[in-house]
Formats: sequence, structure tokens, C-alpha cells
Amino acid sequence: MTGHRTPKLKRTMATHISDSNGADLRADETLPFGEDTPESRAEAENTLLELAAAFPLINSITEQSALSLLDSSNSIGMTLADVDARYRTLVEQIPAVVFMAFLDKGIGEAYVSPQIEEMLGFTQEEWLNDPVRWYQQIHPDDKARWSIEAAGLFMSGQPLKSLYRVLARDGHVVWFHCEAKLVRNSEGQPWFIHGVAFDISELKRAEASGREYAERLKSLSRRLMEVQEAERRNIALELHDEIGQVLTGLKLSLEMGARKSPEGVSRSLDEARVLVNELMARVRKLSLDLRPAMLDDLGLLPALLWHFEHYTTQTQVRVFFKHSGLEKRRFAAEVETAAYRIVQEALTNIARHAHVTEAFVRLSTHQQTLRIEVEDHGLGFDTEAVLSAAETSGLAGMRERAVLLSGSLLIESGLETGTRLTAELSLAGA
Amino acid sequence: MSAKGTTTIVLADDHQVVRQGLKALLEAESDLRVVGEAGDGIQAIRRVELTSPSVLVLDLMMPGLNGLDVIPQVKRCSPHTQIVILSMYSNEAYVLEALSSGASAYVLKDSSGGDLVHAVREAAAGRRYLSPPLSDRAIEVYQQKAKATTLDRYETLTTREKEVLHLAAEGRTSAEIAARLGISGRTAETHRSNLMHKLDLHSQAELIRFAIKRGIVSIDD
Repeated sequence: MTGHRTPKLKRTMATHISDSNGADLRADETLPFGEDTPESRAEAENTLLELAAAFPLINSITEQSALSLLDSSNSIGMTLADVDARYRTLVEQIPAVVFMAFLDKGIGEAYVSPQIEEMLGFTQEEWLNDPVRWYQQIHPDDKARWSIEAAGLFMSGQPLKSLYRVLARDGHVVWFHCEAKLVRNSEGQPWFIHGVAFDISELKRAEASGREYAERLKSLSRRLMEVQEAERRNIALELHDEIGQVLTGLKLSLEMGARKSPEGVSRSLDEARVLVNELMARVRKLSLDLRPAMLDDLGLLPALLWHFEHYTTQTQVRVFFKHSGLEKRRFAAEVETAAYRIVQEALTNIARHAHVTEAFVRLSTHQQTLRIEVEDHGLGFDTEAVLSAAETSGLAGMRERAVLLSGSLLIESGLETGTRLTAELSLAGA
Repeated sequence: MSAKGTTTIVLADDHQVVRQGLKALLEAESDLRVVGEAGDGIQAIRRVELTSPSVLVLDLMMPGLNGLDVIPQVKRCSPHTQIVILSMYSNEAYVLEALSSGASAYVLKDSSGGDLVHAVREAAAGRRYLSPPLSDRAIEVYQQKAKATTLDRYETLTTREKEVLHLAAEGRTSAEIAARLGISGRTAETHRSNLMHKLDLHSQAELIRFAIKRGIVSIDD
């Protein structure tokens, strides 16, 4: 195929060794970069020479095979130049790197298609002129594996099909899927190797982001289970301590009443009535804390108004609430729930951490978006630090809710300047 | 209202125990008579259609069709039937919703039995009744709170965004704004696009118009 000038690897080596080196070199068109230090160069040369030394003599290949190729092309009225031109046009249009190296002609007789430049930033010439470049460009973690796999190709002719990371000129990693084969001449001697390398970096990135999603999903389901358990524990405790106790009291009142005089009975019944009222209040509170039925029955606005009242009673933090576009309006259940929970969580954080007596909540609709803002003028926090620990905090949950509804969640906070949370939820349907 | 001043009643509550209790309570009064019972919303509507009672005592929360959904349907099929809502919730939002759907009275489940009897009589007489501590006043207050406020979008800007808005309204470029505030050009650009988004502005002309309307810049500047 095409001839190329190549600086000699080691002039003193026997021909067959530099031949085989040449072969190796070409097999790796696919691989890129590394710094060019005397050490790395020496390492590269050593590896290649070791490989070559293990490689059987292929010196004896005759010119015949090349001649026979010429003959056959002549017979159909084409010159070798025609064949070469056709082959080259084809090869240089494939969105992959094609490479080839004769094992019988020394290192200069090699080819790598020009697509190498687009993928790795080295020109075709640079690539071919430096006999150890490609080896140096293989990712350090993939070098050992490459050596083994390449040895298999050269020595036993076993086709190579593998993935390697290669460093581009600017240092970024390019993933290649490489396939290479050894071709023997009519006498069964290794003649040349050729192959193709596809840039699969995009695929690898997709794979990585898929893995990342899987990780996040795993951590979320773990959290979901933890939260569920904690919730159950709370309910169990509440049922036992709050409601169970009152029921016990009620039962005692009634038993006492049964043993009493008529006047005593009426007093016991009064006691019982008081206890029953208390019981009803507790059940109602428990039920509302779990999930305000109002959210389902009446919608976001009434549920929030109720929550603010409740919140202020419990925390002494006043809520200044402004809204537009919510009145007499229902949104999808998941939007109402997400909005309610985001506001609830944000207010809980304010009560816990901000050290303020006032909080500001604003809700508004803008075209297909529901915007939620919760603000305080309190202590604030380092958002970076808190968000990086977000796995366990309520912030992650809030963000997840927003993201599920094709929305976003932004937290702006500074120590001493207060915190502002802005969430946007899509009303267009997730 | 049927003959001889007797008030006929249909009871709708999904708990039989509660229905029994209510029935006993109501029938202890000589002028009240329970003519039908229902365990869910749909049954309630059927019973009302069938018996056309003076009063429907309706639990607000029932499975399937809940009380709030039943009210307008009952009003449609038996307009003279007055509705007394029975509810666990003293929240004004519920009361308001029930009343505006057409209920005449709203009674809390933890109020006394006498309260319910009173509510049924008032409703039958065509008057409105709310269990204490509910009151028309509390409902008005709630209605006020629930009214949409004109949301001042300017308020939603951060201090930095307000600064950028002021400078941008004076016609300064992002680079000038950045230099003025000692931030990077890119940050200035981000603030600017965030504030435009928050204020729902889409061009420099709209930004200036907004700034003039707000009195941030005056026209002679």
C-alpha cells in the first residue's frame, strides 16, 4: 500500500525484529498519547522489542505475493495505482480509523487512515513518523492488556477484538473498539495485519451516565426504605404513646362508672367524653401530619394555608405568603404534592436552622410553570457543603421531586444573608 | 318537610356505628324522622332521589364519591333537600367549599349531639348554621387570605439581581456591569438572564419599560 518515511526504531536490531515492530506499531494506530520522556520511550521500545523477540521469523516472505496481486489486478484491466486509489477513497470515508502494516517490509510500510487526526489530534504523518507514539498514547492502565492481546494476534494469529483507552493530543481519553487480523501469505507465513478502530467514547459516556443514574436510583431507594421505616416507627410510637394512653384512660373511666352510684356514673361519663374529644383531636392531628386530606380534597392553596397556620403555632415563625394563579385552581396531584412537600420541607429547615421569626413564601404560575419561592433572612449556610452531603438531607428529596416533574430547584444562601429556595415545577405534565 | 311538621332525614356516613349513633340521637326528637341511610356517596344520592327528604345529613369524607362531590348532585336531583355536613375538619377551607357547593349547615363531629339536632332544625327551616367555633367571620378572614395577592415580581430578585437590573436599565453592557460590581462577565450575564426570566422580560426594551414603570430609572436620565 502506501509507503511512509519512518525514523528507525533501533538501527542495530536485526531486520526481522524491526519488521515485527513495524507490525506492532500499525496494529495500534488506534491508540494515542503520553508524554514523550526518555523513560516512557524506553519503556515503549522495550515492550515492543520483547514482543518482537517472541515473534517467529517472518523474514522469508517473498515478493511473490505482492506480484501476484499485481497480476490479478492487471487481468481485469486495473493498475495497482487504481486499486490503491479506490481502496483509499473507500477507507478514508469510513467513520473509523483503518490501519495496516506489512510484517515483511519493515516499519516504513504502514498505513493509518487520516481520520486519526479528527479523533486524536495527531496528523497521519505524525502518527506514522514516530514509531512508538501509538504505544505511548495507550492509557497506562490498558498497556499491559494490550501487550498480551497484541502478542496473541502476532504469534498465534488469533484475531484481536478489544477495547482500549487512548490519550488524544490534548490528553482527553478516547475509547476505541479495535478489531485486527493477521493475514498470511500463500506459504502460510504472517504477511500483514490490518484492522479498524471505532471511536466509542460517546457510548462509554452514555454507559457511565447510565451507571451514575443506577447509583442514584439505588441510593434513593435505600433512602426511601429508611424514610418509610422511620415513618412507621413514628406512627407506631404515636399510636402507642398518644392514642393508646388516652384509650386506656377512657376504658378506666368507663369501668369506674359501672361500679358507681348514679351521680358517680354521670361524672365518669363526663370524664369519658373529655377523653374521647382528646382522642379525636389526636387522631385528626396524626392523620393530617401524615398527609393533609385537604391537599386531595381542596387543592394546594387551602392545604398550604392550613399548613402555615399549623406551622406558626408550632414554631412561632410567622409566614408571609403571597400567591398568584392558584386560586380555585387544581393542578395534577403529583404537582400539588411536590409543591406542598417542598414548601413544608423548606419551612421545616427554616425553623430548625435559620433562627428567625419570619419566613416568606411566594407561589405563582407562569405559563406552564409553577414557581415556588421560600425565603428567610436568617443565618444561611454554605450551599456547596450542604448540597454535597445532599444524599442524606431533605434537600436531595426536594430536588428529586422537582426533577421528576421536569422542574428545577435552586438554593441561594450565604452565611448571615439568609436563604432563598426557588423551585420550578412543570405544569405541562412530566 | 313532610306532613305534620315532621322533618324527614337521610343519613349518609360510611361507618355503620356512627349512623346508628346518629339515628338514635335524631330519633330521640319527636319532630325528626330518619327515612333512609347510606354508606357511601352514590347511595346517598339514590336515597335522596327516592325519599326526597327535608334534610340530608352528610359525612364529608366518604370513600368513592366524597361529601363535597355529593352536594351539587343532591342539589340538582332534589333542590328542596337541605344539606347538613358532618365533618372532622374545622378548617375554614372545607367549610367554605361545602357552603359554596350548596350545603346549609356544617357540624363538627366532636361537637355535642344537641348541636347536630339544632343544625338539622335550622337547615330544615332554610337557615344557615355553623358549629362553634366556626363562624361567618372566620370564613371571611379565610377568604381574604386565600385571595390571590398581586405578586410583586421585583421582590423575587436577589440583591445582586436588583443591582444588575438597575445597571442594565441604565443601558450598561454586561461587561460594564461586571466591572462595576467586581464580578466576572459571565456571572453578570447569568444574573441578567435570571432576572429577565424571573420578571418575564424578553428583551432589553421590555427591561427598560419595566424599570421605568417601577420607577427604577426615570425617562430623563
